[in-house]
Amino acid sequence: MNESAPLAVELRGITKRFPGVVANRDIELRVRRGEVHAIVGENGAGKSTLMKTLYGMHRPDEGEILLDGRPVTFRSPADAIAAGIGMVHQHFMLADNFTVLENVVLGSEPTRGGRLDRAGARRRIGEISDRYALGLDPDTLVEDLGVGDRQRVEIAKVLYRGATTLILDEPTAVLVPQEVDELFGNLAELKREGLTVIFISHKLDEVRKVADSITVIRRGTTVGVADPRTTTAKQLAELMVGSELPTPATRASTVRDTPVLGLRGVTVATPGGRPAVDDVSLTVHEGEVVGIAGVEGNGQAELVDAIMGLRPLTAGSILLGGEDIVGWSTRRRREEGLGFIPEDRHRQGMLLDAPLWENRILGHQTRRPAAKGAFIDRKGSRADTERIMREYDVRAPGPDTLAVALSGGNQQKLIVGREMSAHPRLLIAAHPTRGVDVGAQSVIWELLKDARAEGMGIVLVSADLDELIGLSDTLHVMLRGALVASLDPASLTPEELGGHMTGARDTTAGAA
Amino acid sequence: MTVLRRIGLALLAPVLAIVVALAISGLVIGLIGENPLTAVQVMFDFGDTPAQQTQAIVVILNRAVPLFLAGLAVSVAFRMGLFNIGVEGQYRLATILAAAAGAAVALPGPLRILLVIVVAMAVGALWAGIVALLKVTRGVSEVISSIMLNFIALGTASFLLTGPLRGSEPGASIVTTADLPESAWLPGLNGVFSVLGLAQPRAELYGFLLVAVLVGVFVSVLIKRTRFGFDLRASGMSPSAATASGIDARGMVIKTMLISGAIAGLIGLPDLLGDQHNYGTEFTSGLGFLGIAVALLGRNSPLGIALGALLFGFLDRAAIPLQFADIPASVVTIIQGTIVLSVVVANQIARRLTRRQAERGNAVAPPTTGDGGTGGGQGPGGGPPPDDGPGSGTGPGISTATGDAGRTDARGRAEA
Amino acid sequence: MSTATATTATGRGPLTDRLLGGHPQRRVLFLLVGLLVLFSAVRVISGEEALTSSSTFSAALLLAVPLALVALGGLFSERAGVVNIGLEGMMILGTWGAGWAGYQWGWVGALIGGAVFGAAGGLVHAVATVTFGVDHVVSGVAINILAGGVVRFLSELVYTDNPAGGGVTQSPPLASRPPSFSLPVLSSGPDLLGDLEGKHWFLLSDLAGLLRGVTNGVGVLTVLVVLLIPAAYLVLWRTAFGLRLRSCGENPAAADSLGVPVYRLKYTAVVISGALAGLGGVFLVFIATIYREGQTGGRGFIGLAALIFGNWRPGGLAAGAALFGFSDALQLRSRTAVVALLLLVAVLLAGVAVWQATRRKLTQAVLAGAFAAAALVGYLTIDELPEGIVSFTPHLTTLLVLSLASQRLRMPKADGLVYRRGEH
Repeated sequence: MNESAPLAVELRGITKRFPGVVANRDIELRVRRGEVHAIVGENGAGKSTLMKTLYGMHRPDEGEILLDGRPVTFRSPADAIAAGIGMVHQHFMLADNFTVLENVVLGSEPTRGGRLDRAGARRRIGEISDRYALGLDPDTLVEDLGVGDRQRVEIAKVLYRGATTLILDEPTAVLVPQEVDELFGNLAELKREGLTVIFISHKLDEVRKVADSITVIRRGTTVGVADPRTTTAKQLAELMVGSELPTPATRASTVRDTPVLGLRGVTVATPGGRPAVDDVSLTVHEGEVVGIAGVEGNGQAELVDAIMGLRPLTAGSILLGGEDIVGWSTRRRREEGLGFIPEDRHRQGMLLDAPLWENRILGHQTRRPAAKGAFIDRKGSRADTERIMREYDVRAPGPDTLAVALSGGNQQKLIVGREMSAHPRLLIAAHPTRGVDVGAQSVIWELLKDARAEGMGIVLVSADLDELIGLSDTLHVMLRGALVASLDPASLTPEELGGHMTGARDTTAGAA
Repeated sequence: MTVLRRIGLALLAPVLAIVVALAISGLVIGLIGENPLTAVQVMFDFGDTPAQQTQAIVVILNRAVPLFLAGLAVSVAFRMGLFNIGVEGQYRLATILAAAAGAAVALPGPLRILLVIVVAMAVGALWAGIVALLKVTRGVSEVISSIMLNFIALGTASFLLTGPLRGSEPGASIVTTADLPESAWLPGLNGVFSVLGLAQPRAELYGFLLVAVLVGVFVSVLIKRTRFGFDLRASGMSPSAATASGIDARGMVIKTMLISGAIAGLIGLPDLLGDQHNYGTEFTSGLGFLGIAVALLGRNSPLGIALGALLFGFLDRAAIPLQFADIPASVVTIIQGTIVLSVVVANQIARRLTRRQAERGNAVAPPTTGDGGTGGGQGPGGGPPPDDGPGSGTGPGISTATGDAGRTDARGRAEA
Repeated sequence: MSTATATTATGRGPLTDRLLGGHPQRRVLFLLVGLLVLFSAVRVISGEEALTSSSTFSAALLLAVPLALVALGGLFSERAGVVNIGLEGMMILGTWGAGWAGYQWGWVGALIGGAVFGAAGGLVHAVATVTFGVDHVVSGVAINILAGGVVRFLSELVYTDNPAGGGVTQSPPLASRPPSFSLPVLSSGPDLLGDLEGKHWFLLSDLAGLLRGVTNGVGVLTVLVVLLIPAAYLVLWRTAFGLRLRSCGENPAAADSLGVPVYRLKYTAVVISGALAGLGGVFLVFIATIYREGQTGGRGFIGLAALIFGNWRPGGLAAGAALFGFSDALQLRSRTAVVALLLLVAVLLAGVAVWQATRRKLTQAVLAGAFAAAALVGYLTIDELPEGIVSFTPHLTTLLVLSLASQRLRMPKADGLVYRRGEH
């Protein structure tokens, strides 16, 4: 390839700030024309923000974007589309009740004398489909298409509008292995036709298979550029995850012998595809923190939902203290000692428009101090809310403050306090310190450790490695719905953890 | 955030809406060449003699009582995020059946009245229960099914009235059910006026006012102070948080609609027991839709609904005096309709403003949900209304596969 | 085409496949022919001539038109994602506008006046729902309340002491009526179809009745409205505008991301729906030759029901409007003939029962059979259905269709969604 040819896409010093956080800092990206370039990084690294900048959804605060050597500014996605950039979103933007043809041409319809030129559109889509081996039938309803096909419709959408540079955002997140192979075949076709592909992912094994060049992003900035042919998976994982892992505080083990939670072959299916949770078995003992590591979207949320009774199991059993609770309602599970710190506290954990003392009641309506018989014990709840605010350091004017007015950290502390106050046998903590400030985070960690010492069993799902390694007694790794490894946090190396999380198998520099 | 400030903000939307509505109506009156101020004067003119004045008060209160009940019925459903448009059909069917039952069954006076009340509540609950059942089992939108059931109820009532339950003579111009005997007439409250030293009005103040107040108190206690009420409100505020907390969504839908229907059944009883003593072709109609208006105006709180009902009653009473002043009585309907529209628009605006302010860190009281601005999905065939989604945080509004996480932390870890 | 021995992949036998397979057009044709045969048979058995007489069909067409217009209005609005419960209110406004413009400027004025008034109602709904994000149903209910008051107020304003006539609840009569025509040889003059109809022959006379009904004294405008239905199909499914409009009702976020002006299209759709509902009101005024308060009688809701019955498609809503219009006409012409419909229902349900039985769906077969028996008993014992019961036939039908076919019905995916850009 001619090295002096202008880069298809170049980003220089891109910085993007949001209130309270710097999402991208001084990002550098160099993509040559006709190559498949991967951008890898963990969740929270800033990849999606970067892509939105490149696609014109927002403007960077600093830095330049150059296309084919010329600086450009995008005021809206329309500008980016006009410049030949096509974005294939992670969450498809398709109208289910429309056909492939209708979805592809929407907004850029060919017309003939006022009427939609369906024949012309059909022809063009057929050309695109043949040329890039997409295999699309223009008259199928999108609803009837599987995930892989839908993705190809999204690709067709951008190709129809003349994209020469495609950005794919986590394209393999929802695909099964065969579909992934098909996708890579498509990417090879695109490359053969001279198009440039930018590919965002966190799955190192796939990236190494298909990318010509890899840019690694961590904590909002570029940390390195790698050539998959000369870089080992181990080196890549280290770049992604960081070379220092926190050392767990040495503590006497508090793990007791009695199991409090048992999962046996738990499987949760999703319509049309691979099961979200695939035959998961694990045990949590009293006084034990079982951590579940893994990049988001690998089934952790579904597993949590299944344990809480919010999602039905397709197979398997859940044992709480020896009893199979699969038939129990969510309310009963809570009453029998299952506590829940949800991952999305706004959606599942609290009533934003209600005062704190009412949020204290949420999830515990059937017991004191929240309720007295059939009535809500307002006084009792307020008093207990004040206690929680004291003991768990929730900073707010008072129990009558509305939940929406609290910062994320304080909201989370309240939720932790609420759940702990019910003295559950087993606590499910899903991303308990997400979006929480440092101070609140250490408070919550201490609380979890204390609870563990008192015999509570905890299932900790997290993407924060500090948290996982610092708190867990046992660490499982979840990938594509299954538990792929059980590790000892005390003797864990970063490459090992990163490798398992991202599916990188071998540690030798491998051919693509 | 003082209590006073919170009350002030909560009142802001309805007061603003009323002001806007009055302004528009004033404009309309001006257009027809009359003086809007005359209209205001007429509306507030209760008459010259003390007897006329208390009469006006009685008319207003009597009109407000059924409206209050209608608003309560609608508000209970609203609080849960459900739309009970079927109140109209529920109360009409309930009233005719209760009237017929009361006339047919021979019981001592007070028991007869009790029978009427029980039958009315049961029929109302049953009719609303059909809506709930269809929604929970077949996923039929409660909006369409209740509108259809309204017509079916009205048709059935009409059939019953002219057929099996006919009580009046053949050839009579107004058809009614059999009259309730005097022992089943609910006594009025005019004694209150003597006690207060006021003049006696011509009409009787409905005794059912007391029952309505009791129902209002009951609803207030139920919603605010019981576990069930908590579950109901939580389901309306955030269905996802409610389910995660263990609340059974489908059971809630059915129970809520049953309660809403039972209260709706009472709407016709003030007029039935206090004035008409039978159900006929001329029986008060339209209370169902006005009830929706009153519930929206009162923002689903029993106190607000009471005030709203009084306001609408006040406006209704003004219809006849307005006509004497050469101002068409339909101005009243226009005022009422404009109030409804302004209220829901004002509620939406207020909601967005306060959400935005709260996100910036100021604790401001947002309006309660079910105020006409519920998130979409209420269309035909829709399931239970979706919640408003994650509180749109100030961070990068990017959703991961499992939903937004809300706020970002000071350490600089954004959610990407 | 399957062979005599093999069953198709869907598990249907060869006969069923012949009847139900193939083009949808062929299916519809078979359905219509089957219905005609059934109606004929029922007429002969019950002796109710009104069932298939030309006067009934003529009235059915007349009554179906306003319903079809309202349903079309609902189609545009809901296909763009805005639920329009306020169609009744917009129809009311349309009737008033037609009456007011009609007595002054004839039927052309009535058309324009009704459409404009209806569109105004639509505009209010659009502002409330699209710009302010008010819940669609709430806004619709508010408009219904407001419309009633507004028309009464306007009548009091304009018609009291008006030399042309009219009063608080009605307008002066229309200055002119829209033109109508009849087919020359077949429906008028020698009236060949009329002769055939009078012979009361099985099937032929019924067909004659149907044809004569829709060609004798038919308003020119009625024909135009009938043509509006395929026109709506062409606009919504065959133009770029229609595709974009429908995308707003299926996935507005996707449409927005592709540069489709979602807010503008929603506005357009809702205003059009108001205008169409207003036109429905105009036709009611044409039938009565004056505006009269309460004229709509809930037809705004029946039109909405026809839309749902028709699965949000123009052909379906036309069938719904025709069905509801027919039952409306029948009960106006002859209440005893409505009872004959029970026999029809009994036969249909019996057929369904047999069909379900062959597919091994025993509970459903038994259920259908039980209802068929009930309908038969009803036919044999009842002389005349009371008016109250008949009045809610369309609504009951809609409720049944909704309950039974909720899964099959496919409303636009984002219908009722309060869309704010950036929040999706």
